Amino acid sequence: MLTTSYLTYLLPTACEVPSVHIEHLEIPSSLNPIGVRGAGELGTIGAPAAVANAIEDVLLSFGVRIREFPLTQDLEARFGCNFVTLRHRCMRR
Amino acid sequence: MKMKGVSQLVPSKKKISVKVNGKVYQRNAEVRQNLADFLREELDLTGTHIGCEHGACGACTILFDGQSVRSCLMFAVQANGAEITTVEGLSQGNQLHPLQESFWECHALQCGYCTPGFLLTLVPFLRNRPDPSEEEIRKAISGNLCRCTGYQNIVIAVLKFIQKYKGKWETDTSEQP
Repeated sequence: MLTTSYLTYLLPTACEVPSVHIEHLEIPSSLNPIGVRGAGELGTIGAPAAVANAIEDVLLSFGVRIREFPLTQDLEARFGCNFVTLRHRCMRR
Repeated sequence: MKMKGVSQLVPSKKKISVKVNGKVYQRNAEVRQNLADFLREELDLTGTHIGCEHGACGACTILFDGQSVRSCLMFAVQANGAEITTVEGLSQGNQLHPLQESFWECHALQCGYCTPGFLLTLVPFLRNRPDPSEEEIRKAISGNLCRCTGYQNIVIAVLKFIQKYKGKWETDTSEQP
């Protein structure tokens, strides 16, 4: 092995990495009704955080900050809001 | 004559006193324990992350008497009498440091492993150079590795921070850093 540490395996640093402009290219799959494609081997770390962020977003005016999982039905009690309001907010979006 | 064993000649622990984030801690540090491990294991300050353990990745960067150092390249006993700031000392409770705020706004982190190191590399850099160019910023963080962001949003966060505070961020927060 020639590259056994970060000193010999040269990772790109801020000086080497160019500025990148990201664009989305959407080509829906024709193999299923909603056009989704698989994205293999993704970790599961992001998904719960995304759900938590979505709920925080909906409950923005309540100042809810979710820091713990699971998100059980006592959400209402935990954050002092009620689901009727929550549902109305969701539907408006 | 009976020879003394090495373990009897060299004390394995040494009492040190170190000020971390404004609080004085006194601990018996194992003499070969590095500072990063000491902060994480003895003081429970796990915001300091350990990446490569040989000074190449910058994740363990802390402020040592106001200067950026890699805590994995120092022994804990060398910190005796020193003043240290870790990432935990940047924010005031829930109030983020202005640079952290800027990182947050600009999505300058993804997994967050390298972030404490970046922040504590940038704080003294920006204190000395309140208005650096993009190239200077990139050079300043060239000793910190990040595998998520491609560095772009980190640079953007610093540029936004400079634009917003124009060197006045230190007067806003009276306490160090």
